Amino acid sequence: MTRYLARRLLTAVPLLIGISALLFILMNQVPGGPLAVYGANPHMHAADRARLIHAMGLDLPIHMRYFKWLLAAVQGDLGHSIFTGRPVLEMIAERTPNTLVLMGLSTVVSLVVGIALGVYSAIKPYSKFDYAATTASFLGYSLPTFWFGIMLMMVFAAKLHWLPAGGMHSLGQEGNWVDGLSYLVLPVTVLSIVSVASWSRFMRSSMLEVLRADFIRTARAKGQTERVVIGYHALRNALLPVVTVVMMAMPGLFGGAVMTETIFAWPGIGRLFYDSMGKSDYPVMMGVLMISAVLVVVFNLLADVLYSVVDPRIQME
Amino acid sequence: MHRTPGPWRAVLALTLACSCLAGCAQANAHVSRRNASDTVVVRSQQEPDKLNPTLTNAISAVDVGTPIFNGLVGVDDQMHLYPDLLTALPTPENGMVKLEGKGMAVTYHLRPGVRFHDGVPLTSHDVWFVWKMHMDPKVLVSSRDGYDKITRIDTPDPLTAVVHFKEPYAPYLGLFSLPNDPILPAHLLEKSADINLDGFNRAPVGTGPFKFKEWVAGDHVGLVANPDYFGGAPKLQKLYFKFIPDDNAAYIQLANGDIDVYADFNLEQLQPAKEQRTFRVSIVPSMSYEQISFNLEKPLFKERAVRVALAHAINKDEMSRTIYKGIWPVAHSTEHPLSWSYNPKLGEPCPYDPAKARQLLDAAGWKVGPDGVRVKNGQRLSFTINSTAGRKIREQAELVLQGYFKAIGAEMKIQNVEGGLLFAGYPTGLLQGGKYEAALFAYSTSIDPAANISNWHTRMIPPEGQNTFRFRDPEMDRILDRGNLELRQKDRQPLYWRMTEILDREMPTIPLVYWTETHGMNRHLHGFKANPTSSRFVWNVKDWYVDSTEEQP
Repeated sequence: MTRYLARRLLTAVPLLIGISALLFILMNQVPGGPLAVYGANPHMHAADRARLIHAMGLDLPIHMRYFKWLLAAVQGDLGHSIFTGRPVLEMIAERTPNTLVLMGLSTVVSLVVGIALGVYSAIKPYSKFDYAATTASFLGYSLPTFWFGIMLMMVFAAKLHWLPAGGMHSLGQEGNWVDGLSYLVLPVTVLSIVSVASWSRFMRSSMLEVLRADFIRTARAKGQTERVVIGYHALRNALLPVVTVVMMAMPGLFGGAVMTETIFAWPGIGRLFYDSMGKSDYPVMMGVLMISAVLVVVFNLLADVLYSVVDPRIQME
Repeated sequence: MHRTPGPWRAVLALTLACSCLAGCAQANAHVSRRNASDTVVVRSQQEPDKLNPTLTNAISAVDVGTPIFNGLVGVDDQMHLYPDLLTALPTPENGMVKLEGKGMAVTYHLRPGVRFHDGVPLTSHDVWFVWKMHMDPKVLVSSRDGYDKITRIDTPDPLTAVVHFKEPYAPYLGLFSLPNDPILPAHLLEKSADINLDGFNRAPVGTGPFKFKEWVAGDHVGLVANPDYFGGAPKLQKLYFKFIPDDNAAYIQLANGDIDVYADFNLEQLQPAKEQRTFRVSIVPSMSYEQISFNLEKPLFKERAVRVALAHAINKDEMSRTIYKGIWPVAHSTEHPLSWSYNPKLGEPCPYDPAKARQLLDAAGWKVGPDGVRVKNGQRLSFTINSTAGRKIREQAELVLQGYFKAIGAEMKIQNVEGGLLFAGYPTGLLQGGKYEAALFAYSTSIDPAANISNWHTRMIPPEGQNTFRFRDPEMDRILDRGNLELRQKDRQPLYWRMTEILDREMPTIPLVYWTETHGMNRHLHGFKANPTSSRFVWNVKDWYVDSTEEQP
């Protein structure tokens, strides 16, 4: 087990370095660069541009800049934003709780609803409920978030005045969680509806498979009540593959939701990334992407480990 | 399976919680304002990067910074300059601007009794520091225009700064002023190890009517009134800038009374906005104008007749009425009508006249070919226009222009690109690198016409400046150089009027329409006066107030 973990972690190092090099190069190929924000400023001359490029350290060849970045990054320093002049880690850290609240809550909501829908559909396959749930979940899955978000806002904020149209809390109500919850309802709804679809589909097929298994027939033959068969024997086994999928979805929680965060003015990491991309703020973009990459690697490993824990038949070599 | 399973209970609980919250919120429905009567909330589309206007090019940073800082000189909504931190505007007439040798000296008398928000008095040393900071190679200042002509600044006493220039510099009144160069507190920044990274940029200290209070990342910046402001305490107590990236969300928040000011409406939102009762809309022509640039190095556009004929083919009135919804007025000149450099006698240089356009092309030897496109010496009258991708209004304008040009036998192909590629620096950018034929985008004029030098002087052809037209005209060069050296407005005015005449004759650019500063504001907010200059709508925020007696839900 220890050897397995050590090997997996070691192979992750070259992988992450490769990812970072690729991202760094791609990012620098985007035309414009950090100086494009100055546009056609008539007060800016060639000397001003050259001076800024030098001060930003952009006059070094790309491989030099990359190695400088890498050297600092392995020591835990992701550099400073070109535009805010603040440490990238600090900027990410202050947004992380906001994104975790939004993404965490919508993941919980969509998991709970998705699993429930999936189980119920599997128990009554090809029933009216099953068809309705299938249709609804595909509809939800196909909704473009920017359109759906605006629609919800039009109805619940503009017409009915029930819920606020974006933001994270009312001004001066920063500690008031009831106020905060009202701001969460719409973005969480948007994010959940999209992922309920995939969870419920996944749960349904996993459950159907288990329900056909021999041990379920045995359980029924032993005279177990339907509640025990479904709730204890079937559900527990059907949840096994879900554990892996949930683990794989965890890194996405950190990355936030670019569209939803932008529409609902949610101060999360998705928006930080989106804003940085608009300005070619390379250090911030690198920071967000690399933390995401590390999380993907870590959670993949964790998923494998956890799978062997919940299912002792799986052995790690 | 007859009892509600666990997950369902959770869903039920959540639904109940939502409806409860909704119920609470409904109590406030249909109130036209939701903020206290001493508080105003302004929408900012983007989050500022720094709250130090000198170190940023972001418009949001200037909007939030303007209430915090002052410059030596201010600009009002009629584009008149007024002394802000000064007792009087220095001019040659009042003897505060003098020629000395080959250069000139400007004497600034600071307003006595002005203090920074931390209580430290403003002195002439702060003026000196602003210059020093601009010239520091490590500081990320986007432009040193003007500051690089200063040789030294004497500070004979705490309230007097004498600025010596190596040559006469006509737009001197634009220096040491907002939007980008307010007076900063030397005592806080002078000893900074790295001004670019200094905490000041996130918690600024200025002399303005509002003091910095808080910055909640991604959410808002909060300012509070400065009761000791030299111009009198502001009428509001709190001023918030809320970051709302999405236009539709911002619109709903304005209509719901969550925010009081929504700066920079987009044109699509104006029609529904007229029907709203919670807010009013203010429209003033801005300093930016939409225009077509020609690259005069391309063979087709070397020929003046082609440029002039294309100008005559455009029905600007129709474009203004239809595409720009009658909101963006027709532009006849590169100069703003409120500016003294605008010559009201000139009018439209190339009025809409397709017959004349055809005549001009016929006379120049362009014969209509079999496909309707004119040909001369084997070259077709066909070109590509570049603009910024993803802006619907520009795409519509291009289609209309295509039709106008087709009517006179010219073919225009459309190729829109990322703004980053269009505006990137030399040699990557299409404009800077000269890798375009024609381009549709907006130019911003400055309050002082001296800035035209960067657009039209032969010396300013990239990489040096913004003469992306590659315009070369010896008379123009002389005029622009003179315009920078003459100090009296009455001597400068004929120069810039002549400049417009040359542009009208040569047509390197076709101005189409002026943009507008279109702002929505809650109907209970008063004192709001939009300013067409880059001081924008925040310039007189000290005089804003909310009439709470009207506040009856």
